[in-house]
Amino acid sequence: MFILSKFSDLIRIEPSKFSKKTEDALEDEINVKFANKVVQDVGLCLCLYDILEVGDGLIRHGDGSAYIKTVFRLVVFRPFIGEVLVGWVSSCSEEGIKVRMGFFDDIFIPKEYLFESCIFIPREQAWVWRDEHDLYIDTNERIRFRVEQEIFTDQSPRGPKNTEPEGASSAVAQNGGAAAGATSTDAAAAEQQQQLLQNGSSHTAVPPYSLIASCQTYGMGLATWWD
Amino acid sequence: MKAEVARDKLLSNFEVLQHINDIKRRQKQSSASRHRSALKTENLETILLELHTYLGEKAHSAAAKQNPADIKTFMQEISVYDLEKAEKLQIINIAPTSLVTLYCLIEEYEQRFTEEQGNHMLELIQKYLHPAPPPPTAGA
Repeated sequence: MFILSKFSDLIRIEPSKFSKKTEDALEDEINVKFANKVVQDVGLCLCLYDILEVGDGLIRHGDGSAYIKTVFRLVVFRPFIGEVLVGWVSSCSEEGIKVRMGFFDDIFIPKEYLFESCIFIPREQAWVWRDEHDLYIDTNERIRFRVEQEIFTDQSPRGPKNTEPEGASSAVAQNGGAAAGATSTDAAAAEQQQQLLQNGSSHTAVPPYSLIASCQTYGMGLATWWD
Repeated sequence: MKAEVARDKLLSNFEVLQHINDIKRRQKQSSASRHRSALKTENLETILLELHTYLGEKAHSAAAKQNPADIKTFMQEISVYDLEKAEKLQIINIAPTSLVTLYCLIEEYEQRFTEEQGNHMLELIQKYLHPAPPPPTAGA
């Protein structure tokens, strides 16, 4: 589920950090910029793994900072399609099950991807697998699931066409209303995917990176059923 | 910023845990010497804590008890079976304790391996990968 990704970037070191060793200063800046952030089509960046190349520090007109071209590798969370992961059930709804992994919480198992004889009991807000016995999928239980689909949603501002005030300039900031309003211009497929995700979440903001998972074969579902 | 190679290498949970432990150790060292501010940023701290919770001992994660020597021996011994790289990686990450869990990590298991071979794999896992003991069964 974890990979190494190779990046190259121009890193800016402020004069106040010149007292640090170059590698330390670069490491700090890279972590500030990338740790716990989603990069489109790469995954959720966790932290710096190693620095491969460090260029010369260049200074620009009107700015005392050093700009250093750096090649480095990051530890990234990006499970492959079909990978089996373990998480905890964070909530159940009629539409499916939301799963969290602590550092990554945007995982949704839609009801179509659950065992065939699964039913939702509204009174207990839980899914039940009617196999030989009634097996309950309760919140906070450890659950095993298979990754079926990954969805990246670009969070960058949408340009002048959008008349609504757009507060989401960074990859992490989210503006639910604006995102929902702007989807009309998007492809219908993208909208459908987002709908699928929103069904599972209580808030309407679309996460930059999310996973659709399944729980359909023997061995999947709560870990306590099988071990 | 440019992503040169999106998927350069695969990492096992154990390697990630080792790496974050490494970072924490260096943070401690640098806070002991007077460069206190080094390596401290909020987003890094958050993700390190969350990762540690997921991979650490409390979460019944196998990675917390594994060590490089055992994983190496495991890889050598498991190589008698023709497993894909991704399958071996998942076996190390999840360290299954039952056949049914092992089956779902290996594609088309029934056509490729027998039950006996599966039991042997489980033995190797038990011996080298230190699967977390299954938590006491909560009555279904």
